[in-house]
Amino acid sequence: MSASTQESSGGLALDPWTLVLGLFGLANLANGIWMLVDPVHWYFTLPAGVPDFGPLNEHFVRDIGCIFTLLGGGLIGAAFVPSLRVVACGAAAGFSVLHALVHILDTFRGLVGSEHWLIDLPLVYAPALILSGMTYWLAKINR
Amino acid sequence: MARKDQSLKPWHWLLAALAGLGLSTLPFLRYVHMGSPAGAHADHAARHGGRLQMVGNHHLELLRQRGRAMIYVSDAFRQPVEPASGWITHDEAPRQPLRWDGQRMWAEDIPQALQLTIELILQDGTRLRWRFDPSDQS
Repeated sequence: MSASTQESSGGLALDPWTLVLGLFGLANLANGIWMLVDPVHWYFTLPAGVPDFGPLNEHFVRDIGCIFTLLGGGLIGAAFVPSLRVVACGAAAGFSVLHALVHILDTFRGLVGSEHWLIDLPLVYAPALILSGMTYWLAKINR
Repeated sequence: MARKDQSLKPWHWLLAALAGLGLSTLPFLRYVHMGSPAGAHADHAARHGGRLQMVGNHHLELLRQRGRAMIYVSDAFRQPVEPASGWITHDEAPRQPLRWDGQRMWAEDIPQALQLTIELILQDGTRLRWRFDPSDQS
């Protein structure tokens, strides 16, 4: 994936970033729509043990669904429009980094045990780092 | 219009597809617990030999023993909580008040009663309600 694979700013592109961002965006969009359309079904069906984090609040599930929908739409757009990539990937990275900071806060204050430093590594901290790295990479390409 | 860059090798596309698929699992796995955390908020073990239920961020443990229905209340961190007041209803019987004995709330039990409804009001006014049905639990 290099600068040579992209169309000029403002044009459409079909390159490896299209696959990466497109698939990532589709999943975000699907998750967001699911949260907006049927928050109860999402809460109990998502294979992630969501109830472990507390009782269902349909309004808050829909609130978070808005974020996923927005990120998904942005990433799908960025998949085909290179000029949107840094912004869209940066937004996804920002969400992941803030989410990771919430986990750091909750682990520090004892809401969850210290073993969560390791438990949260693959699905909380690593994605935040990976998405931040992707944003940096895209920014470097676009420079 | 869109174009496909011919200078890219197939493995570039394969790698991109794998990266995209990997990232696409992220929204669905964001809330997964990887492992069995024993942290305060994840500690849902009954500590008095009864049945434990989360109600909001509080843990309620019901123990029916020696003719008494006893309810142990603890917060998200498993710190014991003394409710301000509470009631218990056995099946369709009139509800009776729960008493605090320094460790737990309790009331006389009706052993043959199947469904128990426990209502608690905490010191800060928070109301907890738990409809206990033994057939719902393993």
